[in-house]
Amino acid sequence: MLQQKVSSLAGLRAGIALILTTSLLLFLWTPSISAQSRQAQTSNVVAYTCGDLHTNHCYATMYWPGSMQGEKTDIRIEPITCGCNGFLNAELWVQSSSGCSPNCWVEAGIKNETGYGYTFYFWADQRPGQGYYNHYMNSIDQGDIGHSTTFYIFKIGTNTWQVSKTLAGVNGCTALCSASWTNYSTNNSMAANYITLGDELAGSSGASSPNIHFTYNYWYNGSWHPQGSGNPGAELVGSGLVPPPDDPPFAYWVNGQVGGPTGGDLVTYCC
Amino acid sequence: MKKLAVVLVIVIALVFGSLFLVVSSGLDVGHAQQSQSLQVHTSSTPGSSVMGLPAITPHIQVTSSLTSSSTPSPTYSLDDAIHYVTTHPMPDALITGSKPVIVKAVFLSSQEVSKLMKGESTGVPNGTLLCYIELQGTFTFSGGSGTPVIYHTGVEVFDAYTGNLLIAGGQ
Repeated sequence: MLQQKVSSLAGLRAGIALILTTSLLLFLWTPSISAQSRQAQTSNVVAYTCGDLHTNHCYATMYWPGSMQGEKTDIRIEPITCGCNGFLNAELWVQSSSGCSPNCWVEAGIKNETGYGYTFYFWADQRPGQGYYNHYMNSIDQGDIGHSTTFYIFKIGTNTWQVSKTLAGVNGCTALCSASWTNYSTNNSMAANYITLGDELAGSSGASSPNIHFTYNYWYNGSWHPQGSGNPGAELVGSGLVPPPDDPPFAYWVNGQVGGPTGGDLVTYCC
Repeated sequence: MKKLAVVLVIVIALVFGSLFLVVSSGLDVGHAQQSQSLQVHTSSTPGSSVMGLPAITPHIQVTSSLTSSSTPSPTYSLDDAIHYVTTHPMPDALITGSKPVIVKAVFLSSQEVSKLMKGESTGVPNGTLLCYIELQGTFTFSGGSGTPVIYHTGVEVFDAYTGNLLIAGGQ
């Protein structure tokens, strides 16, 4: 009888200890949940001053001056959210300030824009004297996320530039991948003299993206060359460069290494 | 013996607590993945191999004889396209001055559309049927380095079969 009482008392003690310990663990865990929730809420209400859909946008980009015939980069695809009144892009541009007013370019990347609610691939061109056209391509697919997509923009003829989106050789999508595509910017006589890559942000609130990596950054002059810091004038350009933290969108080179043997790792994020 | 029992209880609590954390985290991850999935691919978004932004809703059934042809007839009318363009702002374009006027609305092959756009490639085979809408007005687009570009002819091009907006711009 006594033995039974002792035994049930020990069981009771064990139960109480279990509840107390679990409560302690939950107590320790709860603040981190709250902090994450607060962070999520805060990120939803970040305001910025980046004009509207059409003008006064904000950029966090890498600028590479110099004549060339193209570029390619691997963009690690992440969903861009836009409960916003503008858009957020992660992209690359091949541009010309020579013989164009104000400039000419071919661009490609991913985008989310007010009114659509999902991230899609796009490319666009502004040709000398020929107009500006935006090409809306396919949406990103589940398998693309966290994997790299290679974007190419390079000259393949007198007035033709190839624009491609394809699976990356390193960390490329393996299943549930969106379709690759190749288009052409035709009747385009621009003499490209600078490259940019990074983020473009329009509007005043609601856009965001996790870290988006731009790796394997190469430029083209008939053959491919990794981007490096040796190109005079190469610099990060924009309002949101880190360090120091400033207005969104943000961009930085991993380990402060600009370019490198395989073109470096530029990271952008917002907001 | 008593100490051993206490230690045993703590170990059990830690094991259960850890299990609870793992299960909870797993639920969070599952939820996040579900949210991400919904954001990436909902019923209103095009499939990953379908090009263009959802725009005009197809409602004309293509007959079997037409589907076997290389250029199937459109699944919507020109009036549908005109209605869409007049009721939806052109993406990425700032319209200033008077309201743009549609001056051309026509179904054409991709090759013919390309000619109307000063040689701009449409990204689809030459024989593909497209819907070309041309407007007159003042259209401002954001430039590659933040400097806007302005055109007085606006263009929107739709896939004649899916109704998706493939191209928008100005010249």
